[in-house]
Amino acid sequence: MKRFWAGETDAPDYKLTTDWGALDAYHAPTRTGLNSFGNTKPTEWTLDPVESPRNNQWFICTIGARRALTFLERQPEVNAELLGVYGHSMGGKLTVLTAGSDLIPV
Amino acid sequence: MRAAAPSCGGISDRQEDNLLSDDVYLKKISCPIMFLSPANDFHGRINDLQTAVTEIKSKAWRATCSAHHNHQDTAVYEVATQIWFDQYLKGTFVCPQTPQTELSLSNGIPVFTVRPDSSKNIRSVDIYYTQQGQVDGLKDNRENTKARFWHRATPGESGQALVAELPIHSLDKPLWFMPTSSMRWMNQSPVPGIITERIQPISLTSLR
Amino acid sequence: MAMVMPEELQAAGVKATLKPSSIIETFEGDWEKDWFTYRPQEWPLKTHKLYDPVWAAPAGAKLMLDVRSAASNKLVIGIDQYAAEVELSGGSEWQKITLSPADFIDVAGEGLPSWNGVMELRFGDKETLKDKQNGQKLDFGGIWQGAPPEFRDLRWSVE
Repeated sequence: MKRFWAGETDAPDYKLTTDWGALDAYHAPTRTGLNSFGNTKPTEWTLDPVESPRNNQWFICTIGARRALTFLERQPEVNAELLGVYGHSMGGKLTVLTAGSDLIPV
Repeated sequence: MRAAAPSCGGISDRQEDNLLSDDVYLKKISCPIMFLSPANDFHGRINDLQTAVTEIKSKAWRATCSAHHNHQDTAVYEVATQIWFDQYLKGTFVCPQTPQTELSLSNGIPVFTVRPDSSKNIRSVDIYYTQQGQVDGLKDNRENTKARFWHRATPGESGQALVAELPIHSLDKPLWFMPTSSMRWMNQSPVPGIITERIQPISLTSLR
Repeated sequence: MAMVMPEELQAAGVKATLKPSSIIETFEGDWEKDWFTYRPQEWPLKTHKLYDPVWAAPAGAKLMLDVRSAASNKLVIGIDQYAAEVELSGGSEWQKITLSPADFIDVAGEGLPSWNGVMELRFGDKETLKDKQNGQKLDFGGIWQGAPPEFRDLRWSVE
């Protein structure tokens, strides 16, 4: 990830990873060097220029998961009423964050 | 969202005054939820699972906790996700009820009684217990969490119930226990009238 | 999962009846449920039994077990970040194995100082110890030949 962030495309271990553009939405190692679990401080890669929960990487990743659900809901072959979420490790946390921010009561 | 199955995460990241803390979201969950929580996982710790199930609003929840495992499961546990989604997304399965359990301390040796839901073909019931757990609220000892040994007691039949003694080695340490049922279930074959036994057994754990 | 606090155990008159044992594993019945693996289709296994006070090593003990392997092989026995390689001659006879802490070495070749505090015991065909700091590696064992090994009487001996 460090190679990717630095744009070191000639490095032998360079790998293309998910590009969140200007935002730092990774877990560890974070681009900021801050602990992503608790960080809400502003940096040049965060969403808000002031201390904010939206500056936490988990917020951004949860938005990503919710957008994935919205994408699925809009596909004609998908039954939008029957979507489930599974995730492991970081994905386990994201599953809880996604389920806990679901606005539709089941 | 109609169902969720978090594995090895989403229960132990608890920080005061942090809106991205797991407990903030657990308290808002109302959909059916299956927790895949290996008993030695460093990341989603089993003592926090005990707390998490009191925080969720969901009426339908279960857990599968593989004894000895850290941050990985094997098929007999992983399949819990599929049966959960089979039940709540496809409507093709009915998960067995959480067994009724009871712990008695009156005979000098702890005695655990389980009354499992017999609607599925039960292969075995094992009671796993340890005295190497940590008291909730204390700082987690990561190495202990990964290495704690779970003793196993195999219950014998006593009327409609299964009963096992849980002999312990210390009166100075808490006793943690969890019954785990391993079961097979019958799957309808694509050929009408023929029932096949699914090769894959499943293990479910009771938290209460 | 549920918990009973020590005060409750004491108040109820519960007794500590589970005593230390020098027999670590008999390999009988459902013994595999006390061990674990993330590759159930293969024979190597691990356990945390040695971390439990019931199976903690007595002072001066040696780790012993009997092994039978149809073919000659190298059995790798691992303890935490240490490992030992045992030559199995192969055949129908049980082979007695006796190991001291110093028989287990880490990636730098240093012996295990003592059994105190060990957490994980592993039986396997091969493993590689790694030093995450300097990238150094040390290989043990190799490709297993023939049927999986049989084990008997894993125990502490203070002869």
